[in-house]
Amino acid sequence: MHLTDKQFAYLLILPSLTVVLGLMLYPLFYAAYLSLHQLILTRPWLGTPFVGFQNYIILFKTPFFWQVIKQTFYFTAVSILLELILALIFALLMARGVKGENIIRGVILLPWMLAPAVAAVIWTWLLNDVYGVINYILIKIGIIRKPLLWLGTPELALNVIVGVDVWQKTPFVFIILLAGLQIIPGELYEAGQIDGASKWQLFRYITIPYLRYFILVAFLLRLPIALRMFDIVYIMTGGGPGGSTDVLATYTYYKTFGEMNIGMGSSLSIVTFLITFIISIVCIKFLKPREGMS
Amino acid sequence: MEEKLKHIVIVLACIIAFFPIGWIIITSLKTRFEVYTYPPTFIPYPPTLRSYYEIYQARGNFKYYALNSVIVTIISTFFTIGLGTFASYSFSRFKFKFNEFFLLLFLTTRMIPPMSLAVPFYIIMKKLGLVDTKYSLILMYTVTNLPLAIWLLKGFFDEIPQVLEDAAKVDGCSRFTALTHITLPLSRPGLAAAFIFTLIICWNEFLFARIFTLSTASKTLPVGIAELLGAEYELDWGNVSAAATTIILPMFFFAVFLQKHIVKGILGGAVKG
Amino acid sequence: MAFPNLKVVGIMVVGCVVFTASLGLTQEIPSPPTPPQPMYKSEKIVVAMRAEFSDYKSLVPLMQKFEKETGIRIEHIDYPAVALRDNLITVLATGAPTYDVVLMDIVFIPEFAAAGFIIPLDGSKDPFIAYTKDDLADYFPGCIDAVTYKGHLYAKDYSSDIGMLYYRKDLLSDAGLGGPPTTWDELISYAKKLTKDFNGDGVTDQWGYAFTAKEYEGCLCIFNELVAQAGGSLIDKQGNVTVNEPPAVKALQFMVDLRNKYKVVPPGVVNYTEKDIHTGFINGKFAMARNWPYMWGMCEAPDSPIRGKVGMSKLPRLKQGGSTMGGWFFGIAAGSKRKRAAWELIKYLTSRESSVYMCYKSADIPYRRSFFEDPRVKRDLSWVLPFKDGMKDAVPRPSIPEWGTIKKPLWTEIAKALIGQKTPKQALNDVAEEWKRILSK
Repeated sequence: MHLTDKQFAYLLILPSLTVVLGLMLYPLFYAAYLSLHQLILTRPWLGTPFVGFQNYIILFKTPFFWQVIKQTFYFTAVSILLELILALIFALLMARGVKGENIIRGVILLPWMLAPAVAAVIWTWLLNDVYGVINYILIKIGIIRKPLLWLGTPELALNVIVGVDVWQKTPFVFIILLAGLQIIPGELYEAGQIDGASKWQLFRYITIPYLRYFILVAFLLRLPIALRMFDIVYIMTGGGPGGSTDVLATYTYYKTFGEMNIGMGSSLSIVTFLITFIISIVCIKFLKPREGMS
Repeated sequence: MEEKLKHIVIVLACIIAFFPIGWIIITSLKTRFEVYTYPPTFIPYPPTLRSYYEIYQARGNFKYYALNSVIVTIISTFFTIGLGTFASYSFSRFKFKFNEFFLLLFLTTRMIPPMSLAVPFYIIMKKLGLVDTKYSLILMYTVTNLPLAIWLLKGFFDEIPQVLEDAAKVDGCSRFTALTHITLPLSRPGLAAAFIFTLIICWNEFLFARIFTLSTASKTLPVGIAELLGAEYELDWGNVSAAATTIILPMFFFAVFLQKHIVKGILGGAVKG
Repeated sequence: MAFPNLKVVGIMVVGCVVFTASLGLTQEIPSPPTPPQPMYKSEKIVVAMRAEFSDYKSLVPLMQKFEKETGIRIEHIDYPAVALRDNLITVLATGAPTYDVVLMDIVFIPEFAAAGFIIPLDGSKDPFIAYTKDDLADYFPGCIDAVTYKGHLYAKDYSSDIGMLYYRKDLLSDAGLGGPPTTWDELISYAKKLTKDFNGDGVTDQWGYAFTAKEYEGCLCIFNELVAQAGGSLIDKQGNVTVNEPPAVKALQFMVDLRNKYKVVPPGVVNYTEKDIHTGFINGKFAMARNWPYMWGMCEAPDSPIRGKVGMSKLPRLKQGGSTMGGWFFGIAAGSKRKRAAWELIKYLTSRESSVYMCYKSADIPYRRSFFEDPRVKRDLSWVLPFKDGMKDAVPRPSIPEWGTIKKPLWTEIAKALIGQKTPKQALNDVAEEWKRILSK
């Protein structure tokens, strides 16, 4: 059987394509459809009338919605930034080989191996103001004098959530960047050294171009997850105190399962999706580096 | 000096990463009495396996959950990486008109909030008669992880110069052999990364597992630990810790073991000659 | 690989034997009662319920007995309690015949009834599916109110939950206090005496009192009963919003003062759920606490560090007594194709005999008056008697379908008042405004 290049290619992707697109895009369109209707489960006598963009208009007129957007953006931006920086530092440190590197890599991976919900429960327990281990240790070694109210202080709570997410997700970014670093052919460095380049120049002209792509990949993979982060907030603070840690996902959950307002919940899902989509496209367009490295 | 700094940073990172995990492991070995003492103790005295006993024997279901998790995770991962490798290779090498479009589409599927996927997929699974079977999870995981695998692997394949395969083809290899004998080995760090990712994601996946599984026939470990954590009242930290340890340790050993045998350092010698 | 420590196991076994023996040599735990033969059978019944360990101890043997005696196969699907509601909504919204019997928290009932997820159980839908006159008279009135929506009964009580005051008898007597506080003022003064810093390092080591005020249902339970104790309500019987009237403001002020003015509850209460309360109480951080009946079992367990040192009583009163009514109830799914058989099962699981059995096995108490008169209960389970008084004062949260919607503004504003961002009056005025807007639609 002699396939042309093109036919071979299609053969390779077709199975994945049909399965993924068919199954995944249908719910998206269904959610979009629902968002244009009014559907409140506890008021079945209202039926499911078409209401156009009314759900969205109500949403945009709700001040709390904008607070939620602000908090979601803060969380997303700060946690992804910190994760990228920390992961980059560790990847660079580990790329050239370290004694016991397998164990170290395994240990650094541990936080990510915990599901976010489990990590959230454990951290809530550790950060309890009265009997939590963290406060106990910090007081014992003298860093603080009184136990901190980690999750009950509005200014601190959102940052604690960022912290838990960074703790939990940095390993994920770390693996991507580390693998990216390890793919760089060694000869490039050798050739550069022969040519008399300094360590910094090697870093700047060889490592960074290669890494740029992987940083973009890591960012694009983290973005949707960060924008729809639910467990950590829901478990640690329930959106509090005073709504200061509410994010898009918890707000969507409240509208969908709390209020049973499916129409509004779907609108929020679509809004979340659109935000993710637009940011991703913008980043790809502006940050996409050259094609391949032949 | 630089070496010392490097070591300090690494040790610090390991401590921060490990501390809560270590605390969980310690707690899983404590008696109920000791779990509730304050100030907290760092070495269980006496250490006991009562938590493990409780979740595996007395309450009984964790042994089923563990088995289901293992089966579902391994099979889903193999399907995902299998299908994904070929698809991403194709995206990498062949420039379609719609290359970018499809890739974007794949990326888009990751942006859909899982909550909106819940009901439609439940209906689909019901129609297929797959609710409460391991098949539903395997299908779901493969479908949702393929985009990630494809994206990742494409990136790694892009970095492997096509000249290598062309050289092999000139020497008489078929396209397929070039792929399997030259490109794949060179992309091992990428393959290993994608493999570990998918493995861990499937192992920890919780949202769909909760929706599609109803009984011990298909419930997985994350659902099990959610039952312990979500217990309205009777949260026993020892039991929760034992469950969490069960979830983490296999992945830990696997990650260390896998990396030792598959991931290599900086590639050398492939292009010479 | 370490083996289980035999010494510990041995101690626990001995402890169990001693505990059981201490309940009275005459006690034999009854076996599940035999159900009468059902008039309507089916091949199987599917029950959606929680995955609580206590349910395994009592509900599961009952279901197994029913299965054995009637030949109807029972399949139970367990969800973590916090996820049960989401799963029920997801499945019941599609109208699929997946579940026949559903276990619901008391607050689900009005919203599920309004959404048409469950059917009436008072004979209006199907004459066979009806409460008996006997049962109607046996349940406490508050319980009947809680299951009523638009004049029809939609669920049947399986277990109860009311807020109780727990206190450490030993810590109270160390502080020179005789018994538990019975009024708000006493609560404040006792708690002040019990809040201590043992080593003078500025860190409070023991707190006088604790309650749950994280932004979730538990916070509203606390607020609801305090408002009742102050003689008010959140929404009155005519449906008017009364959450910003003086009694409610007083109640919120009380919560705020306990935390910020008298400093007898940890500042962290804004983050506490029941888990935090029982952890803190058992490890001695809280001298008194407000929690549900389940904590009694934990405190008195053979391996509990505070066994024998705990007392339980009604919550303190201001104008009157009050404690939030919780509990779990069975309903029949509207989409079920086996409704009559489902009703047979529910009748059995919630019968007087089954309730007594359940109390022995999992310490669950029904909302039945006759339960407290049962000789077996009086003889072997006398620890339940304080609950009888508690139930008389039990106050449900507003049983309206919009509860799911109006919850969030309420707990958000309570939190803001607790952390000092708003005064209680401001906070509750904002709540009232939002509620009027939502309820008028």
